[in-house]
Amino acid sequence: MSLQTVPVVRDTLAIDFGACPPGCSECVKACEQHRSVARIATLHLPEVSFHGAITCLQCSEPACRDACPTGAISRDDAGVARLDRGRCVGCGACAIACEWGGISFDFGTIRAAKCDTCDGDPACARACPTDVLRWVESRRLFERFSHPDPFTKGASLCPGCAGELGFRLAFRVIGDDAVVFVGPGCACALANGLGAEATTRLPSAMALMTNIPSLMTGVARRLRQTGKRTRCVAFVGDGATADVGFQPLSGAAERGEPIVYICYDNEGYMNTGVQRSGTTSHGARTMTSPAGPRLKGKGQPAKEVPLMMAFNGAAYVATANIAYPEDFEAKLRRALDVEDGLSYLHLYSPCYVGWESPMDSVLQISRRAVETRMFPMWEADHGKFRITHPVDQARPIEEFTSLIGRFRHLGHDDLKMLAEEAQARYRRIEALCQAMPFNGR
Amino acid sequence: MNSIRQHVIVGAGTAGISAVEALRKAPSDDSITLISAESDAPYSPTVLPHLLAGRIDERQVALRSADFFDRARCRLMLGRTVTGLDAERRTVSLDDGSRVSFDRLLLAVGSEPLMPKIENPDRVECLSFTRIGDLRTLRTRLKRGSRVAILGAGLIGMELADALAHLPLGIRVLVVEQEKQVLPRTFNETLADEVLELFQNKGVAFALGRRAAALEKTRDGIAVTLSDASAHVVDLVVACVGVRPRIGFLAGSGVAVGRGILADRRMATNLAGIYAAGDAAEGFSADGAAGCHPVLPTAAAQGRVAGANMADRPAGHEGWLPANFFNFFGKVAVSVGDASAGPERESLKRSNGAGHAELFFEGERLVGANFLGVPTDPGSLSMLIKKRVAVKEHRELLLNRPLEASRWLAARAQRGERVK
Ligand SMILES: Cc1cc2nc3c(=O)[nH]c(=O)nc-3n(C[C@H](O)[C@H](O)[C@H](O)COP(=O)(O)OP(=O)(O)OC[C@H]3O[C@@H](n4cnc5c(N)ncnc54)[C@H](O)[C@@H]3O)c2cc1C
Repeated sequence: MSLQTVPVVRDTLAIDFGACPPGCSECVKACEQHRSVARIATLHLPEVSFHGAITCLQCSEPACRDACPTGAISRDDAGVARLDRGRCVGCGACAIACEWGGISFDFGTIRAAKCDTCDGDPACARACPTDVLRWVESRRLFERFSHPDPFTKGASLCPGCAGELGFRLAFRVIGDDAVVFVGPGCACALANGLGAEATTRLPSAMALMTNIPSLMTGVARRLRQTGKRTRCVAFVGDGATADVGFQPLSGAAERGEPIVYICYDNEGYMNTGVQRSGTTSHGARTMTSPAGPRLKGKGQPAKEVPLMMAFNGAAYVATANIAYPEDFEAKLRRALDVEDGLSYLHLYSPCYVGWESPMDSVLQISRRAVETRMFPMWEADHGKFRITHPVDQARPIEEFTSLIGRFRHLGHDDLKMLAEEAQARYRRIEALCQAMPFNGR
Repeated sequence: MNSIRQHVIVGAGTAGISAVEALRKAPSDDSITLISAESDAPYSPTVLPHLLAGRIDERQVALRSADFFDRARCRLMLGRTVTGLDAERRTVSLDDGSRVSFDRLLLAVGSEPLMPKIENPDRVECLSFTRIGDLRTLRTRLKRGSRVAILGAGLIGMELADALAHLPLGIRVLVVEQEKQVLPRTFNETLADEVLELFQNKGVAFALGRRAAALEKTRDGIAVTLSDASAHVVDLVVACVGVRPRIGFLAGSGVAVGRGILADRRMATNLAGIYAAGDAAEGFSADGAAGCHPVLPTAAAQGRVAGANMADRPAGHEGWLPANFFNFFGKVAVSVGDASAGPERESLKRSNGAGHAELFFEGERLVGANFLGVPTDPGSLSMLIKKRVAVKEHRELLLNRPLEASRWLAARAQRGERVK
């Protein structure tokens, strides 16, 4: 195999960084036992309430390999950077070059060591008593998104867009036997193209903001009459969903139309210059909810559209988040299976432009939204509730808000209020799970 | 498709090979030719002290396995010295009179040893220690009980002294250094004194604060006269007073040079399609100052950047930060950033029998650190300094648990969070 054909799809040791139980070092013990020198480390810093595990991330262009003066580090065809300890002279160049804490330098023997994933069966992950360390077979992950990407080359959305990622992932699950519905918004630029740029291979229709579910109703009924199982799937923003277009959505749910409606929630009218919508977070600054001496961004908490839908006749309702693609895939499949009513998926999709965040931050923000309980992950299947990603201990709200510029004006008390609202939101879902428990489909 | 390009890389060290890796990261049918003046399989001079001390042998130090170059479709030309560059005709000339054409050229020729200004009427042989040939010469000259004077207590001089002290040959070593401490500009005085003691305990002698002024042949060896007029008789003299970029062969080529080959952040020189990386290049520090930084991680990073740009994948070097790592007789000494006192600076120290740690802060951020006998993660510390992460709030934690705290802080910063 020549160098340039090294496969991109690789299996990975996934680490939920910072989620270790205090004092636990089972991974380090297991590694030491199997490999004599530990190649994973735990960082237990009770002073700052941090407990996490750290090891090599298996970079695609490993700086450690390039700096090693004896050629002791090489990257194999499976994408694993291996260190031949017999050729290590202990010069430390790898430990200087790696800025990710991936080199486990053994200060006893004064030789470097590093993780080689135990050839795909890492002892640390087997020993981990929690879900912090997991061996993720990316091949399997990719199989879940096995349909071809439905869009032609080129995309007119901003680079790093969460909505685009969600749109693409959704149709790699749904496949070709579908009609796509969009409204005026960012997603229509991908589905219908702008000028000569991207468009979709699937039949697609752009409705108005106020009639998407109505149009879907008609098309879905006609398809059924002709005996087709083609699904009608909407991929629509929060403005059309929560505000101007809510009436026909509510009606379609109540009538039990078997359509799949995905709302990608970027919390505002982003395409038209960042105006507030019903789902914009409390306190967030937008063009129409400015922050200044008198106002502190949006003055009201966000509408909880998924809850409204759950009590509005929808057969299946779930919240999803692009930082958890496997979970999104599973919920989408369930939504496609449901034929006795409307399925509603609420997909959290931060817009870094409107949220005043760095271009590469949307996944980080999405994950933090879950970990701080800002965005609870749950599903309601025919009225039975369950939390799909329990968060036992919420991270401090600042770990979320500090990533987002449109919260910058908020003071300590404002953040406290946001955090309390988030806790209340989470507990409300917990209460529903208790009152109407999910016990299998 | 673009037409096929010919990439020529002069120098098969760390910088040159990192460039090959980066060039082959993306698929292309471009050709790569790698030229090295030495006929040995590509190696790094960093291994010299380790080879001398017997920690590893010559068959184990090839930077890449033989099949690497086949797989990378990289033509190796070993034992060929590039003597000139014709930028107009886009060729380099070799010592055998032949020429090699290029579309894109990387100059990764490394550095050459500086020679001390010293009176030497008898033309006494003054060895150096920067290439594998130097090691072989030194080995043939070393006898049981040899007396060796090392001129310079910098990085290379101290590594050489350490290796000689490890040999079971009863070699007597004298290190001469004009500054008042060993490893000047790398460690502050306190730590340098500790390091000095480690060496002295192993029988290495030092003449600090003095220069070697003259060499003379005498009946029982070479007399080294120091600036204080004291004389020391030895069998061998090795000059380790520093290195400078190898730029002599570029005279008249049009490539702009200062101390080294001048390169911008993309590692591009003043001439289109010609790049420089590693010890030979004068690039930029993390603070944006122009300069040379002859160490492995910098050569690797600059080589990667040059290779990516040669392959039309735009990349920039973020700038180097001083960082050193030594193993002196089982004790690890680490310095990162600028670990020196200053008016705007605050320092924090911790010291016990087992080890020393000293951190330097400017405002909210860490600017430098020194450690001896304390486990640390120099890469994480470098990251915190380079990215100017505000860490002062956690300074006690960093001082007391540098390994864990630096990794925690760096990981948080890498994950895009502001550290409060
Ligand atoms: C004794 C010693 C110990 C060291 N220890 C450390 C250490 O512990 N940590 C650290 O980070 N750094 C250390 N260094 C420095 C480190 O080795 C260099 O920074 C690094 O090797 C530079 O890489 P390079 O690719 O720029 O040059 P080199 O690795 O030196 O490669 C230069 C290449 O260019 C070739 N060449 C030169 N001129 C020509 C020409 N005219 N034509 C064709 N080919 C030519 C040479 O043959 C060689 O292949 C040490 C250096 C020495 C000498």
